[in-house]
Amino acid sequence: MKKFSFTPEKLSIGLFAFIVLGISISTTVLPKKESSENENRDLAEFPSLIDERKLETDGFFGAIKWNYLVEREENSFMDDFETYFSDHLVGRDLWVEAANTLSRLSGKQEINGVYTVDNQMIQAFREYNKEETAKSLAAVESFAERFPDIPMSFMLSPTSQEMYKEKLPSYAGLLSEKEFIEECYSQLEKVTAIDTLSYLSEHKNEYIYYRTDHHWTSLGAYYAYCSAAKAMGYTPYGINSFNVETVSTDFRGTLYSKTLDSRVPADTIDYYHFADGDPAVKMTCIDGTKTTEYDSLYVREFLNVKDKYSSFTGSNVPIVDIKTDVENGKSLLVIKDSYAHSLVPFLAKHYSRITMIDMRYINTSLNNFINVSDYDQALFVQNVMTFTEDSALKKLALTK
Amino acid sequence: MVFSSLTFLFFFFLPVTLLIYYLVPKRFKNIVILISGLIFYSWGEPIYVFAMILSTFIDYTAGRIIAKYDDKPKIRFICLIVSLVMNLGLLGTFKYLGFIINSLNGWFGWTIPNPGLPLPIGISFFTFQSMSYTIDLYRRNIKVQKNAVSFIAFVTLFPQIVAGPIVRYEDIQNEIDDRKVTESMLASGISRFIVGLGKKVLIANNIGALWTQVKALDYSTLSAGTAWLGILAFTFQIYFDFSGYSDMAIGLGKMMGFNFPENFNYPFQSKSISEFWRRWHMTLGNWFKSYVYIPLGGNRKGKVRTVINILIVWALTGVWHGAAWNFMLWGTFFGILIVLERLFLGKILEKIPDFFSWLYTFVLVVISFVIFEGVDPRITDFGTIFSQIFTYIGAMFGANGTGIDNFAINSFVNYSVIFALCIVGSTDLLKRLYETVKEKAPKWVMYGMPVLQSGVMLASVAFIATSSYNPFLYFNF
Repeated sequence: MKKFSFTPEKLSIGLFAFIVLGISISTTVLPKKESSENENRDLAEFPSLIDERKLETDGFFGAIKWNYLVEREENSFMDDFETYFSDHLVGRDLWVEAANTLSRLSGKQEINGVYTVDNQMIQAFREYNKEETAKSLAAVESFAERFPDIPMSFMLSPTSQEMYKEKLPSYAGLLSEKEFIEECYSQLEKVTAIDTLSYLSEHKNEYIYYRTDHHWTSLGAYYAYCSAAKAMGYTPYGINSFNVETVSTDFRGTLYSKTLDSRVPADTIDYYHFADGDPAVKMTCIDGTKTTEYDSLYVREFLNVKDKYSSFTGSNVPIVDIKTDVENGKSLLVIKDSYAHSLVPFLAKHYSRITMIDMRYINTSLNNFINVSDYDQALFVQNVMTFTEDSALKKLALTK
Repeated sequence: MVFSSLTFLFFFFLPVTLLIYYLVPKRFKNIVILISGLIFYSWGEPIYVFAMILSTFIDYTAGRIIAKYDDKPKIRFICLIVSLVMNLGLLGTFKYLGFIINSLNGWFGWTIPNPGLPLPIGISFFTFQSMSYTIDLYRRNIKVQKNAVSFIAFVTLFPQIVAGPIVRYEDIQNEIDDRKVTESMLASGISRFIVGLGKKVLIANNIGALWTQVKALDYSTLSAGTAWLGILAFTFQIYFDFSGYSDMAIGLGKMMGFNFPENFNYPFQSKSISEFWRRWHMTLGNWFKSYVYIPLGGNRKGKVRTVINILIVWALTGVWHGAAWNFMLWGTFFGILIVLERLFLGKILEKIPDFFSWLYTFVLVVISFVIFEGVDPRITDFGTIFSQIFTYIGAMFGANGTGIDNFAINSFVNYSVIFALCIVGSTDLLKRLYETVKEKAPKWVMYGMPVLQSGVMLASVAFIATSSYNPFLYFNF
């Protein structure tokens, strides 16, 4: 018998077999996850070629989905199979993190539209559709015209890019959020523009934006609240009139999901409670199919899942109606994106009723859902990214 | 299906097919090739797999008849014609019919309905392969393949079915019925496969992202820097994509005991366009040389015929790459350059320093890819085609008035390492380094190669996995 000798060839064959068989066997036998928390989506289900409903009546061959099998392009069985396999690839997030690390080492400064500088993740604001934003703003103006008795204010808030722009490469081709906000505000006449940017800029060295998420922190929201209070005609509570409760120190948000860069330390979530007591509230979240009621503006069950920001007034739904025990009888309509969620707890002390409307989920006239004339004031809360990515405010012009 | 998909790497093909292939006795190995090839092909082309089966069946039968009636020239000739008509007919119908109809409609305002046939994967490859068999048999260059399984296995041999190299029957006629896989063949096949995978996934896909960005811009606003970076990115993308695919095919072939012909030989080191085409997509060049250029008379019928023959071959080479006018222009562009090199340019290139002949070649190759890729292939109007080409080329030479803008700087910073990899990977530097190490370094160093190689494999898997990673910020959004 020939003596076994350990050659580089044998090592090569062994390693290759180990990698191929290791990945294929572990992917096949390990239990599958149903959804991906980091991606905020359901993972693909196994593409079945058998129509189970037909199995009893038509027999095995009658139940085979032939069309699915011979479909040529996208949505074919073969395509779905690859999607299934890659969705459930063993250690999927680790592969992605490894690839992103390699990209970074190769000099890529931007991963999935996110820059990471000095432990701060920043979404790149690079382009927007001028016509679409103009349409949104025009819809806001015409909305204000339809309800001349309701004073309206517009908060177009910057994202972290504006605060940390000097840390980003000057040649990156990023737009100035400041200029964008000024440009938008110049198109508003009947609506009061809120200068949130300068309030935030004054405190830009404080922890006002999450490091790993695209939202502002509660502290950032507090400064935004100050800017809003000024525009809406009342004095905001001072920063010392709050007790800060830290509810999470391991929050990794949406920007982390995009980069899976775990070098950046996790974020802290704080709740700002009024020192003289939070108002008692009844919060009703209406998401179209079901209605959920809470006794607090904080939905603490979200602190146990990845999407911890949603613990501020719940996840994005079309309508959130908040009734407080404040007895001034004033009511506020907030037409918002998710930035408003951590802002509203500060406003709660000033109103008997606050209704939050998310126009991204509303596709007919607003009057089908609420009676706009019932409100004393209206506040728009939009951040530059969502405002430019989705021109949902256009739908305010709908009258049917 | 592509080799760089997870289904191929970790499901059907590498693990399952190779294991079965190694486990079955020798006489069943071609059946495994046949079945796995059909599944592989139908995976991407579930209906038109029958076009391939038809082509295979006719060529096999034609081959048998040609061999049987060895002394009946007429019958042999008819068989050859049937095979050619059928293969070229398939190619013509699926690949060129829509293009011809669109062109006619566009030029003359006709309204011939376009059947809109899809282009079956790899049809340009398997028809050429299959045809080479009947032609070579007719020329008595090869022996007939009597075993139908072996013949179908030759056509459906999955490593090369989708994107080459164009393996002629002649290339593997000895191996198709008698081959074995040695340890060193398997190991070198694995290395070759991984090199190809890395070229495709780590380099081509990454640098290609830059071209995708540039291509989406308005050409008439590009700065010179952006225009150059964009088209250089595409030049490297197509080289690493295509040669990577050939490497993977050759590697898989080796794992199964086949020695396929080489397809690329560091083309970007060439010092003339003629040399470039002896190093780029070599199996296609050889195919056209054997079956078109030489039968047309090659260079033996005087200068004028030689020039005409060269131009015919290059127009065909161009249009083989895609049914559109810009591809034909691309081929003709090379044809003209090759004619000029034959007439006088070649002698000048030999005299000037190597650097300048290299620069001449490389710049023209890069510019050729503007014709290849910078034009929308659906356009049939030559005015528009030329205007797109010259707008881009103009931008490269500063016609838009800006040399370097932020986009160019940003692209350069973000892609500098990948560009460096592209440049090094386009030369034979690493190959020479490897050979020196193998010869001079202590033996244990060679154990580092498989480790390095596994790293490339794992990195490639990471990038493949990432392409399906799509974070959504919001639910139901």
